Amino acid sequence: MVIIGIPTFGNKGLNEVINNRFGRCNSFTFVTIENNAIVEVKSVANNAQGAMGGAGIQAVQIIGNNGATEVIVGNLGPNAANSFNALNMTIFQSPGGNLTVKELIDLRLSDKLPVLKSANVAAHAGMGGGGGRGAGRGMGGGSQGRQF
Amino acid sequence: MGGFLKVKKIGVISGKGGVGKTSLVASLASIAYKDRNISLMILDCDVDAPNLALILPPISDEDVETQDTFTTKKARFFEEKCVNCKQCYDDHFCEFSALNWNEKDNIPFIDYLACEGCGACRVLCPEDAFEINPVKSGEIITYETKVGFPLIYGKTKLGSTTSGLLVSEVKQHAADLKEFDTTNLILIDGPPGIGCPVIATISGLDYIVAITEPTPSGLHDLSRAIEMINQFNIPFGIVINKSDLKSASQKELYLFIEKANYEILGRIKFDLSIPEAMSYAKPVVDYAPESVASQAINKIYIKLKHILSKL
Amino acid sequence: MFKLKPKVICVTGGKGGTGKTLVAVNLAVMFKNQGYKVLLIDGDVENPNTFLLLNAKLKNKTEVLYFLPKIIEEKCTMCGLCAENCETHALLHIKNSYPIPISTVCSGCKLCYKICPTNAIDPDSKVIGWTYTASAFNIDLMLGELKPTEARSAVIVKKLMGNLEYIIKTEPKKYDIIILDTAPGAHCDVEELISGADLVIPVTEPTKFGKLDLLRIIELINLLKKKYKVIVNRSSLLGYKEKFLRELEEKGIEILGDIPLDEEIVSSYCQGIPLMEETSKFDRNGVGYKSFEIIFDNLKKWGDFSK
Repeated sequence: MVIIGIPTFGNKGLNEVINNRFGRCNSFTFVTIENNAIVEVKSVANNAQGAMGGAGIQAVQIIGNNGATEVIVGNLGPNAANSFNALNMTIFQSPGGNLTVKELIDLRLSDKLPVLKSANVAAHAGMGGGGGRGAGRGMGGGSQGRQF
Repeated sequence: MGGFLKVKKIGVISGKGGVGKTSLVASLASIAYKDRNISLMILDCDVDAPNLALILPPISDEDVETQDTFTTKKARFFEEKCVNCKQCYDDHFCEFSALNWNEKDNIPFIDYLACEGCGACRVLCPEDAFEINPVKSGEIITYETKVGFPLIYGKTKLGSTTSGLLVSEVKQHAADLKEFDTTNLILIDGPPGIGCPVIATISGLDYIVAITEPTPSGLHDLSRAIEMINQFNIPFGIVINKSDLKSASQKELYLFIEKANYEILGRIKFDLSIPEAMSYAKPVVDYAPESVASQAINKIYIKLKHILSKL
Repeated sequence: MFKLKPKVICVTGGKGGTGKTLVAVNLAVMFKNQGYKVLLIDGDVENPNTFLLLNAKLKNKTEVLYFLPKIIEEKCTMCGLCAENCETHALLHIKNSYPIPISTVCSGCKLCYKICPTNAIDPDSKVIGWTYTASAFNIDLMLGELKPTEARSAVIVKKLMGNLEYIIKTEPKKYDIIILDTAPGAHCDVEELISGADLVIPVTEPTKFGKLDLLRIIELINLLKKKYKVIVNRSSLLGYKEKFLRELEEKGIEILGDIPLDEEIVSSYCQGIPLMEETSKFDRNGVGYKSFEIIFDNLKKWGDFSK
């Protein structure tokens, strides 16, 4: 049995679209796979979304605390990537675009997703710890959000 | 997205200060802007001493947008909650020497500049007499340049310890601009050195231009910059400024580059047009297009474009 | 008779490449020539260069360590208190497992070490750089070097200043003059050095860029309530000297002196022999040489340098 976590926007389960911004997504969708079939789908809110800093690390904690050993992500910064690697979790790279959780799980089950070994975008928090977004910056919502 | 070139991000760093980063970025920007295939955005990430805006000023001052950033955290002491137990001072709550003791009033006081906002005092004080709050760390300034492309730069508030965070904020701010969607080249003027703000600058970039000069410190600082760049596995090329300077380090520099087979993007011979252009606050390729320096920079641009197309 | 503490002079500038190191090294040499005991501290720990200008051999390489938490699994109850209270989220904690330190975001505050109820955190460390000593032309040198790939240069600078404090406390007569050379910019490592100085000398160049960065460093110097006087290097560049000096004067900025462009200076720099070194063969009538002499005279009038 394996649980796969995917950053998403809401709680529509398998119909959710992947949110490319890992640490700042609204929710995580967890899919339990047994014998190559989906046996459970669960949505969990990302309460680290508004964090001043270390959102990536906190998000990894949410993923880990929900029993996932694999994730499928769009963009992933170095803090989150290092954290996943420290936990020996496997990171799969979404091919891009607005794929649904169902579509991504199907790709994963047919071994069509490449493994990501390290961050694929720049750090949000830079060096020197913590910090992150300034006050009053719009976050979440429906936008895909771009990363530098 | 069709035939768009995916956005390519280039950072210009040097290790040693004053070897010509800002001057080169301004000229490359000017050339890139005139290139029909390129849609450009420029960042100045030398947040401790930004000066690219001097050579690439805004179209109009009303057009300039300034946003405060709050990435620095500082501790604040609430005297009314203090019971004068002196535990914070005696038990060395603060690792950054920011917590001192006011003998006269028998209370602690915080050295604002030394405080790193780590939160230890907040957690350890049994009376909850400390709070950690975000404070203004700097500004991000955005505008359209007279030349015609957007420029974004950051400037730290003096005393802020979080230059690296501000650099990341500047980059994120650029990504949030509507122009980002149609940009295919981002040029970044980096800070001197190899520490926190430089690392934040080069993180996630596609290519680095490392500028040096054939002097003992030019070579020494270049090798350290390369050591840092290699840790991030980002491809880079070297530009040698004042390349004909008579110096014993000339040979050493070339041996260093040859031995490791580093890419040389170009050599710019010593040319007074460069400081002259800077004194008129103009990119040298605009101020003196036929000069030795301008010709060298144009060649560098062509080479860079060729390298980027293969990345 | 009481000996006064050594005088600490900080040479800084804001803009890179203005000649801070050149000035710091030659001021050190000029004091030495007059019999003062001098310590030159290279606080540009990201790119220390003083030893290059002095052709000095580095000795006493000493590691500078930075705190990293290490979890002692036998003692850890997995309560997660450390991770919960870490301001920078540098401890990754999944329930029912040991917390994992993420060194890249650790601020070094040691809070986790202090609050662990079972003392299950070992104050481990990583090497983030080194300090060295050296000696050349009868000047003592102390240098710091940040390990490339590490970010926290201020930590190395703090170590240097700590070493200095120790020397002043235990051997107050060892040095008469301490000269601090800073990195460019106005970052916290520069701030650390300026705060330890009695006198600050910003070095600038007569350009708009030099002026912009000079005003910024002066803002920092004022914030730290220090006294300063400026040196304008490469003053003969493009003939703007008079205009530039006037602009500074209008802003109430006092000048210690100016140094024109001089081939001899470039030569000395590349040879690793300071221009003002008394045993050197540089032209005593050169414009560079003479300007340094004037600066030194002005400096001695400005500060109290009784031995």
